[in-house]
Amino acid sequence: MNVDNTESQMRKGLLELCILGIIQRQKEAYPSDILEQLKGAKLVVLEGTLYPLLTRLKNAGMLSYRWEESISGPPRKYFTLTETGGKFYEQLRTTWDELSQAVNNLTVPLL
Amino acid sequence: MQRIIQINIAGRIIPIEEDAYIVLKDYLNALESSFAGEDGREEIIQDIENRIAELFTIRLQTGSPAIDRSDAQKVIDTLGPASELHGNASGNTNNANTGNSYQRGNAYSGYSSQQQNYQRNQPPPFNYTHDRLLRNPYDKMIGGVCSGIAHYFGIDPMIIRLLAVISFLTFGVGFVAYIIAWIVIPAARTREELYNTNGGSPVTFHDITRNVGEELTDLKRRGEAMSRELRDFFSKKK
Repeated sequence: MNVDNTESQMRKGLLELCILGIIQRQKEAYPSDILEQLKGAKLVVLEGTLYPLLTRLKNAGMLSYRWEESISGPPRKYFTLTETGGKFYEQLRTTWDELSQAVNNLTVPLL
Repeated sequence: MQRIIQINIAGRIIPIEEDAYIVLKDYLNALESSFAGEDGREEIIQDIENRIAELFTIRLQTGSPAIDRSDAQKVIDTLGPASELHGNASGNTNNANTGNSYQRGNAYSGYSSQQQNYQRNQPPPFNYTHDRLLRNPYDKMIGGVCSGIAHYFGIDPMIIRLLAVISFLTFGVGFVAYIIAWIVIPAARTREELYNTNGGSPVTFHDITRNVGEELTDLKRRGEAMSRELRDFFSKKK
């Protein structure tokens, strides 16, 4: 057992929820923008881990995207939640609320 | 001294030093094999290339004339080693319960089965194909066959050349063999290929016809150069 590994597993587990959350909140987001926020929150260390997730979520019908040209670099993929993705997100979000509540209750020191 | 080449990555033209290019190419090859067997492989790699292009563009905007090796390495470190990027969202294989949470809604059951697929698909080990037999166009007397063979076996080209000359003199068997080898063995085209980091593809008929064409023009040019040298040599003597 080591702490780093357990911590990284916890983060990994929440990554989908956070990606969907970022996209939902902004209505539309492109990968580098999502990355910046995830890195800011220390949820992602290696940038490359985001891309397989996005593609899997898209192929599972959770996300759709459109291309948009960018002045400063290569064209960007703007992702939005599909209807299925929205429901999926709501469900994960509920689970997270319950979980974090439960974890807090279980781990808070007894008075 | 470094040669700068232009590469097209995600539709952007990026000037890059040659050894940085080799580092980058290796990384992309490693990604290819790391995501082998994954449905969205091409798309994932394309997205990553896009990000690389973006990071390179940012680097070039800060006034760097070309991407050098340390720039490329920095970008690769930011993205992460190829072997660590394939992992699925729910982590590793020992949490067998992860699938269940997705199965509550019927709509997501497809997704959960896909998730299990990802867990089964272990990334294949990196495999770089071994040295392939190529003619060396930068070290040649006639067609580069001998130096290519010598490189392949890791011995001094002079030894192979000597053997070749001996076999030429014995009934000309070696001569015929040499011509065939010259036609069939493709020339190494880039420095990278000379170092053989690139996987070998089988020689196609198209390659062979192209080889012959290129070699004949090259031989003609070399013949002319040689006769000019000889002329100079004799005219000096007079």
